[in-house]
Amino acid sequence: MTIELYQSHHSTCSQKVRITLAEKGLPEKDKDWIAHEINLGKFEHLTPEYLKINPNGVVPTMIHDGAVVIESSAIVEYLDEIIPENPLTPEDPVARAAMRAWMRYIEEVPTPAVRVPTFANMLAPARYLNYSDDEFATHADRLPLRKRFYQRMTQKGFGADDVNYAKEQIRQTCERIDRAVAGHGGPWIMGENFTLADALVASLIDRMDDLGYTYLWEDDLPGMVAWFDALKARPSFQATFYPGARISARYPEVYRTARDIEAERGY
Amino acid sequence: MGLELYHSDHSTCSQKVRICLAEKGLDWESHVLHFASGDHLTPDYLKLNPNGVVPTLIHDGEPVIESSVIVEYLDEIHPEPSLSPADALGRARLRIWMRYMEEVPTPAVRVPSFNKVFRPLRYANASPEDFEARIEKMPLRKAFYRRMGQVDGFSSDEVDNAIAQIRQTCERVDAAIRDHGGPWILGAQYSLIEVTLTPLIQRMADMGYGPIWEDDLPEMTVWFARIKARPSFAAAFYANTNLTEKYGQFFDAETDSDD
Repeated sequence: MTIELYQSHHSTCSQKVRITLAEKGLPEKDKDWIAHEINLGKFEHLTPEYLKINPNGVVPTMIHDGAVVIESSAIVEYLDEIIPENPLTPEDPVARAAMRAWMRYIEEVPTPAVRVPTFANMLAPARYLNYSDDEFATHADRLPLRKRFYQRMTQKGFGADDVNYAKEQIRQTCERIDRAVAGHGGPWIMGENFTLADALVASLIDRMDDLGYTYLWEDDLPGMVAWFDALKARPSFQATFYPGARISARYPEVYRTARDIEAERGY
Repeated sequence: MGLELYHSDHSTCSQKVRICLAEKGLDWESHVLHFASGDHLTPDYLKLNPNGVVPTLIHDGEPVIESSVIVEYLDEIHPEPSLSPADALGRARLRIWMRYMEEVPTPAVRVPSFNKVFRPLRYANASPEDFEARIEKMPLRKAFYRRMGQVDGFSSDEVDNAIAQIRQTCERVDAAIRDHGGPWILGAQYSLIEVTLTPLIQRMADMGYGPIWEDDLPEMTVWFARIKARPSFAAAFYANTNLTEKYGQFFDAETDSDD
């Protein structure tokens, strides 16, 4: 079996697939699976060749024995089906549906929310600040999905309303994880077993932690804190977040903590 | 016991589940929620569905939420007739479509729906404070309502983007039918993709957006005609619940050209 992953070190959706690969017994990049690094800063995800395998123009894309599978949530379910060892999906249909309801929530709420501070604090200053309005509009037009996200952002990043609402959505996610861990007795979202719900939300929480937003949960959500500690202690976490895999390491020249940014711009 | 569905007659996500139930030939008990009375935000309903949206399926007392999760659940517990491919790669392809539909056309269809009907119907006479208070009570999608605004509705940029997203969806449907030899998106098998996409296309057709695909996407046009001929379509779309029928006052000649 050959697994190739077109991915980016710091992309949260690539990290969702890497943590799943590690949980399924394929932890080592370039040994258990082949990495093709896509440089998002050079827009390698928008070349005609890449768009042929991934018409949405996003990472990751997995190639399994020649078959192309895109969309991180579809990829992780596929991996869990083709590699039966270490199942990451409950056997009972009702529990499986509950896990999938979590997956849909993670796709709809925290996944887009995390993009807002990521772009506002890091990627807008690192990539777009010097774009003219025309250059930026042309860039947004090249994107098969999420044009409107870029148009709302502009090259200067997001404003107070968008950043504050994104923080509210992350806070809601953390409250739900906290309640789920307490309600099911932990240590994971679905209870005793680490599942795809944990795999999909892990990189989003790690990103918020990396950007300095840990204060959203660390003071008053003990179940959430325990969940994140348990996550960080898993071997799959170490395999996923190898040195240089965080966005703070990708763009050290623009990195500042959330608290420092908030002190300066007020949100 | 058995299957119960909390739903609304005209909600596209409720229609997705009703199509699936009809395709499976299942009997179910109906609980209709009325958004205008806030039925979807009562403490009792939020216990079943913390997102405060319809539909919610109850199966032998256990709630299952999220329309795309519900249809997948129904397909697992009632495997005949199957609405998903038998092999892992086929299922992955189905799920790639499901995720695309959740991200792109499902939110896009809300934009013209709210501009034409739901904003004037529900919010036109609210005070700004009342509007904000109602948004605050919603567990999800607050930003959607704030972008819409109480008075102006979505900007022409937002509407143009939504229409472009629907067009992209239709182009992908058209190409998939051609590439896979039809008659359905995955090829020979009618699947959960058709189940979840049908209400979105019917909503656009009802609001007068049919030319988005009718003019130059023949596969898509034939596909939709085939869908409408299935018994599940008649079962899921109740008489007089299209927006143009239920809320005809918003579709007179004047508002019709105002998008």
